[in-house]
Amino acid sequence: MASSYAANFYVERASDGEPSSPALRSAPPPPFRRLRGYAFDPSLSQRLETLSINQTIFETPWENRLEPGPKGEYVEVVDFDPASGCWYEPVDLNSLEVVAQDGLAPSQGNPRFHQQMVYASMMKTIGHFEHALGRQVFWASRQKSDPVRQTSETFIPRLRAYPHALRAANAYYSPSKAAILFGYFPGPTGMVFSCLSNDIIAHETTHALLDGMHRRYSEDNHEDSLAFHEAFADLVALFQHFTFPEVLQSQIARSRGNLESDTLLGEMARELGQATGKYGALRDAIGERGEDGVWRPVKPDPGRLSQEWEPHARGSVLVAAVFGAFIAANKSRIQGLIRLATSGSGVLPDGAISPDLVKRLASETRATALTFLNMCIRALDYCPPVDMTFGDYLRALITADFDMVPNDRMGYRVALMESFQKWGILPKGIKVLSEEQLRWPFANLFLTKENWNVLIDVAGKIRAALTETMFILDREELFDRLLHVRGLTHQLLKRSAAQEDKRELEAFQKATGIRLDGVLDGIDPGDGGGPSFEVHALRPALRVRPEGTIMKQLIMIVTQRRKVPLNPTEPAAGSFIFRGGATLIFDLEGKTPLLRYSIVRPIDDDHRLEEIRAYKLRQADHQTSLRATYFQEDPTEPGFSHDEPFCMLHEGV
Amino acid sequence: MPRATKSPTKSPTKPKRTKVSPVRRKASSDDITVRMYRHGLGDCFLLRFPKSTGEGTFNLLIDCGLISVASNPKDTMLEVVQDLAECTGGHLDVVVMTHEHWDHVSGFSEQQCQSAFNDFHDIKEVWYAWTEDPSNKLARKLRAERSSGLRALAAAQMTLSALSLGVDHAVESERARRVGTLLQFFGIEAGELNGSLSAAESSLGKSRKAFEYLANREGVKVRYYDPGSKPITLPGVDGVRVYVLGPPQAEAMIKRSSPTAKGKEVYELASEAETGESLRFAFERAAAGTSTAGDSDLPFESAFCIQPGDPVPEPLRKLMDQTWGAPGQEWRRIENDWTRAVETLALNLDSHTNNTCLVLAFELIESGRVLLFPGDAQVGNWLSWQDTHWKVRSAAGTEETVTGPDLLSRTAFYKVGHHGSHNATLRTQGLEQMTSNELVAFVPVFKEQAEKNRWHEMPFRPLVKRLQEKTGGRLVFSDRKVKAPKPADLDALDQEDQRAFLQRLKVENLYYEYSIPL
Repeated sequence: MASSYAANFYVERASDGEPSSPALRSAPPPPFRRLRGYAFDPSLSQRLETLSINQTIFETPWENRLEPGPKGEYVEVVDFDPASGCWYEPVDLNSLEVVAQDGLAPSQGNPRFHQQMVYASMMKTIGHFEHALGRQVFWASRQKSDPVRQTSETFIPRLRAYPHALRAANAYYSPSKAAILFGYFPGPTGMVFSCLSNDIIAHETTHALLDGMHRRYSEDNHEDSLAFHEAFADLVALFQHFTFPEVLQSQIARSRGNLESDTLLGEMARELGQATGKYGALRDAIGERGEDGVWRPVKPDPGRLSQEWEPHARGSVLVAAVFGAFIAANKSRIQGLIRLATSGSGVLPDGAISPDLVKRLASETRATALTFLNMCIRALDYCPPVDMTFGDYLRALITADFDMVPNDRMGYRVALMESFQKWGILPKGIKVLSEEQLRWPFANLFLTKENWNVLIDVAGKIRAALTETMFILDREELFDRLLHVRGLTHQLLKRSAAQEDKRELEAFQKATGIRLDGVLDGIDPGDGGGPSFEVHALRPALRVRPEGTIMKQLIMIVTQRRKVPLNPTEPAAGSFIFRGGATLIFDLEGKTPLLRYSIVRPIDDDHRLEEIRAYKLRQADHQTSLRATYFQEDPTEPGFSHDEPFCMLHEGV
Repeated sequence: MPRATKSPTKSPTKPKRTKVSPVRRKASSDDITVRMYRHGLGDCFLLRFPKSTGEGTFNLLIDCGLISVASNPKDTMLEVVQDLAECTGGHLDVVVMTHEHWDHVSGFSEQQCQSAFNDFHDIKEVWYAWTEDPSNKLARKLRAERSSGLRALAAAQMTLSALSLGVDHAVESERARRVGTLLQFFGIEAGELNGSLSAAESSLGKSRKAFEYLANREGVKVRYYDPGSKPITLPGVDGVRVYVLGPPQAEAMIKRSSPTAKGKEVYELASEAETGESLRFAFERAAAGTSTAGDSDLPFESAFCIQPGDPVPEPLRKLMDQTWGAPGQEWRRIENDWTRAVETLALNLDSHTNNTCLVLAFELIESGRVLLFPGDAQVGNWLSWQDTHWKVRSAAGTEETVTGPDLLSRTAFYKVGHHGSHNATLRTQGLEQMTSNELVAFVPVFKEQAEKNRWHEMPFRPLVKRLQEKTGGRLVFSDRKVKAPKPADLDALDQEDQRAFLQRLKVENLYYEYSIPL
């Protein structure tokens, strides 16, 4: 099931309706579609040194029903260029000349190659997510409020990509259009296309995938919220560098196995960085080129986090922390190889290292990188539903990995803790950085005399319906079924919580972070009375541990919203939405389900409320954007900039 | 920090002199006067320095302009220029043109008071920043970028306003309005641009023409200054040195508009001139179906481009029907998202122009006091002062070093940058370094006119609050709706300082004048 995405592509669906050829029916379709593309971006193909490694082959899952666009199951590339007032003909990846030669040859001048590149890179990122999560991914659904204050949700089958949407040095994921818009602009040496940068595509796709899992993470509630979105998108793009064998081997040979040096692997979006007239690349996770042009590794600085509050700068601290852990973990992993290759001295002689050693080092490093990538993605299931901080993410990383690999044989968790500590990222209220302290505590459930608990009861009641969903392949059908079960869960929770005695209700509120007793102001009434809340998400997950056992989990996210004044003493200053809730993780095995973790952000947490309030007021006081001076949003106008949170983020004015 | 002038500034909170601090004296004819006109959202400052002969003053005018949203701008400016003529007898020793924005130069335009200035019988010198020097290569590049940017904005404004005529075009119309407000800095009024870009050429050149009026006027000596310039002395005036703090000579600093965005992490427009052009062509095409560039601005060979009217290949037709054209999917279209880039362009253009401001610090050698006139300089310009220094010869004949932070620490008069908006007064490396206990700040701003453009944060409240604290209430707004400081506003000062300040401040309907002893 961990490769559910692949299964989905192998199977000829009954609903396809098209008779497949006898040959196809008897033989499985090809495992992969091989598509040529840039490992980085076109700028590296213009340098002799990097020419050979920059062209790579993306192996994307074979989609049977891939139409010209490319338009597949997850992605549709629509190549309309509004600024030029024209369309570009879509590439047909099933055509003979494409299939027969691993896709169109990389070319900046051919829009059909651009479409192929966008498709290939997006599919690769999606593949990593599905692999790590063990389930099919969904894009953020379209939510619409209808007059009765009921929100309806519509399934978005495909994320749309517009490779030539803008004439600007920008590219962004637009939640309101369920699309990624890529820009192009005249650079110093010709046109620069952001849709040809593998990093940028991966980065934006990750924004979309994260938004699909945690819709509330794009709300700017504290220093870490937007910074996390950025950092996470960078991390995914960075770790993917290590999945290209040519790149990895050449860089390992060049750096003689020392990844803490100036390699392409730690750099992001090089071409855009250069075209915009800055040194080196846009972001570099492990080092920096100073004004003098000399590259220096960054030294962990526990004080930096408290000084940086611009999302990219702050996000780079998290990137450096995770990446630093990876480098350290990998170093210890390859030590043995180096000792073997040096007759035990561990000191490599001068000059080039043996190609065999390069290969072995590359394969170990690739494995470490993939593990870290999986850890990073898997941790998302263990994150609180709203207002996540970097510290929370560390706890999620540690907990998720503990569930997966209880005994940390490779020391990855220690590497993470050590690196986060060096960078000063400490979860609040944690006194000692130890694994037991960092793991989310096991949920402590209130049980009635009859050994009964609302949450356990509800989880038990929906278990059968959820199990059904595990056999559904069609994403839309799965979405609808889960939506239905969410509705059911909502009813059950509401009914059970309403019936019970005070102590039971209190315990329920404590475990879920929401309030149903109506003591808080600003919570809308739900239909049928009582404060409203939502079952934000329901995700059954099957995870295969390395030793072969299977975990059957349910992730349930319950949330509530509350309108609170920005400044309690000054009602005219406006209000904002304060959210609370919990990510509940159940083990589904056994006679009754077990609530393993309850990661709570209580809606009645006055301390958190004050922090967000202070942050929002501080933002108003320290607006540093020129935009705020001239183009201040008028709340009565149709919303404008906040429609596109990621556009603003990448624009930087 | 190498410290220069002997002077009372070592501990700014405690003047070293034992006699009564001279600032407490009544205004006298030996004082320097600074006149801030109260004509509207715009800058016009007249500085008069007593001449060493004891007869007459050295007259130095810094900017003379008014934003176009003001009502009756011409008459208002005429009143100002007439007063200037009266007060100087038509004699200006120096005119400082800080930068080319309309709210700083409109007075010199044909449309407003050029003829009145023509009657000034004696204008000796005009000072510009090095960024206007025709012989400087980087200056030429920056000017070309600004000019290309301005043309792109104009094309965008015309196209967007034309598009927004239809129903359901709230976004276009708001975007047109926004671009329009920034075009005012070039003297272009709402609705002024229509028709083609070539027809608009005279509108586009307005501000530049006014800016260059004095350079082209016969008999006026033109000087270009940069932070490397030696401190300037004013002929006939003793005891005053003028330091040029900005604009910085590094392109990266000129293009820096925000204190947090570190160059490296920002997607910034690089080849701005080209980007501006490429956007302009796109707007032309959106309006007219073709651009003046033909197909040369298209990102691909035109053979790849399927334009309106071209036959649509079957696979594309199918894709369009199933995605772009699919019923219920209209919300995912992106027809106009690209036009957002023009806002970025407009903001960049504005801040880069503001960063080309000629920034002057007038040092009164004897007392060590500094009068700071930053124009509308923004972050990049401010930051560059931190590393600027000059060698000067003291009265005793020894060589001393004066630094930017040093000048800030001795600033006794601060002309608040860019009408009090937040990004034209730097905090830690700016206002917080102004530690003189004599600090007085003048803010040329009319709130009502700013509000007309929905610039609600002009002046920026937190900045006003901090200025209020730093000056002990000696904060003066040109705005006629804001009252001049009263004793009650000066609570933080002791009685004597209050009295001295009020005595030195002359309040007129047309201007404020403040006198500062040498």
